[in-house]
Amino acid sequence: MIGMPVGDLETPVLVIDMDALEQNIGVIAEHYREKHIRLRPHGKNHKSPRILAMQVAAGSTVGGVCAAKVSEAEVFVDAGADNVLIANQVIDADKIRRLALLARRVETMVAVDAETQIERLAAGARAVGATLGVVVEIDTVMRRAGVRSIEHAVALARIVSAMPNLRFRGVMSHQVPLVRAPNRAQRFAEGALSIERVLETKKAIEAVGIAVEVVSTGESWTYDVAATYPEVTEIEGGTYVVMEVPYAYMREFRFAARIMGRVYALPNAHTAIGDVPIDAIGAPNGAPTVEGFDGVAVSEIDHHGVVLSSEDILPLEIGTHFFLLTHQQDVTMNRWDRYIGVRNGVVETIFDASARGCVH
Amino acid sequence: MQRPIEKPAGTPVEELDTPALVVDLDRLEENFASVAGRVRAEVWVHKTPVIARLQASLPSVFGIAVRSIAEAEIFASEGFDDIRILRPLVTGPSKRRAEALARSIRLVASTAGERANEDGLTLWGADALEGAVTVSARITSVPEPGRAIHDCGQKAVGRDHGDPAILARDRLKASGGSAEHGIVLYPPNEPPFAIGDWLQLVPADIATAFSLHDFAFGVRGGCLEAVWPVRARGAF
Repeated sequence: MIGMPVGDLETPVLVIDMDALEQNIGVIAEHYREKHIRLRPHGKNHKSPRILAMQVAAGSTVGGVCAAKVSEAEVFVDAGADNVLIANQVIDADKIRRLALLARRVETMVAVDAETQIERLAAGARAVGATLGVVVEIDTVMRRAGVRSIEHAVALARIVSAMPNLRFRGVMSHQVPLVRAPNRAQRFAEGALSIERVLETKKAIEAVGIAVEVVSTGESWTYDVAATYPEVTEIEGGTYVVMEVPYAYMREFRFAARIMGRVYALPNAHTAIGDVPIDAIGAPNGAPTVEGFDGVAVSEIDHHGVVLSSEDILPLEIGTHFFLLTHQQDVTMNRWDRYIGVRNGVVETIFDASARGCVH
Repeated sequence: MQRPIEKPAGTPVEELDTPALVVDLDRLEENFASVAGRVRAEVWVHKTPVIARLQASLPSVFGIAVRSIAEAEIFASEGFDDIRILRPLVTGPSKRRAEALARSIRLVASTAGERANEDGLTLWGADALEGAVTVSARITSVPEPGRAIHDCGQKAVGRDHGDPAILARDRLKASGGSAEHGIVLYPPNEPPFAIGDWLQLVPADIATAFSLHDFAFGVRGGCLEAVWPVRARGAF
């Protein structure tokens, strides 16, 4: 397959534009080059230890990585990551045992937002003689996990600090933009609200005499906002790597991931059916966007394929290939066990998404 | 590849590592017993050779149906010898793969935009699994009253066809609002959730749920009976 023109690939296939991938990775690496802030690359977005290694090699990172799940973190550590933050709560004994054993191998941090999680983590770490790093997760706008008050964050920091086998490391928070396609001013204003809330919490924890080493807040859409705050130590960045349509307002990043499909039926002059089933792309945020054909849109997608429609006569024949852009990249990337790196229209390399499916 | 903690047969379903794709075997057999006429089993729905073999052993079933040449190759390698590919084959390589496969099995395929030749068989699809499939989850955070977070997000249950429902609390929808987390919203008069609570989610679409997992856990009477590889997942 290496060396083959992309148009000759069997479809459907997930292709990665190597130039765009490298450019995207370079944007944050360069922006942070002379700054205090570091990137912690999030592996959940692409599931590939190799892309994580590319991110770390580009520089300006903490050296370690971020994962959403314990089993995902194991894949990254097995592939060489030497410190890892699981930006999530881990609450059951089975997973805590795995987490504690991981902490014996490399520096490991996990997020908490409740007392009972802390007690369970401490018991699990004690059982295997590990020391587990803990950050308190702070909710700012998402109303997902995370403490809802500064007082609660301070109380949890105190409990962690007093607990054997745990080490309080700091705070983390995650946001998505509430404004759709914000302009730069909106983006900075919205990002600032969340980041400043996190920094208020950090100060309150320090005020009771507990050191806060890690302040992990900000992500792809606020990478530059976070960099303006000297107290922010790292962001968790992932979306920027291959990008998605709703993030197109971040113009410094290019779409690097595309699903290539082929037309297999032409029911009429305005309608074509392509061979990309819904489970190959995932469409929780709406149908994918068709690239390269003006006025052609996805009107339907199911397990047998994608319906492309246009008010004009479609410029497509049986066998014509087309490209789809995802509206939620990490959901799409998680559907593929491997993807194909392409440069200048030629297959250059194949990526194994070895953490695909690691939901435990 | 999924990496759940492995548990032996006999393990109570509540103790399986979450999220887990669970198939209720009693309900599955009930569904299978009710199939009538002459049908072809749409095994692309579950992508699981063991389930396909159970279907193929039924007197009403005459062959299987898949979506792609890649799925056909996998099921042929598992011993299935009568396979219909539903999606027309349009590329040279896929047609050559089909020709090669057709030398050793009965393969019903079509090319260039026409549906596969009618073979007089009714397709038997997602009905085969109706009511038998859940994805188990655990509450990981209860950050405020009326709101609980669990460990089964879109990557484990899918939201392409809508939100899953929570079994036993059927007025509640478990929002698959993000990739890694699920969110449960409940009115204050409902019993509150606690960290560690175990949930069974009913996916909005069974085929999507199977497309996300590498293993399905067959459960009977509340205990694990078999672990089945979803071998054809990702063979688009």
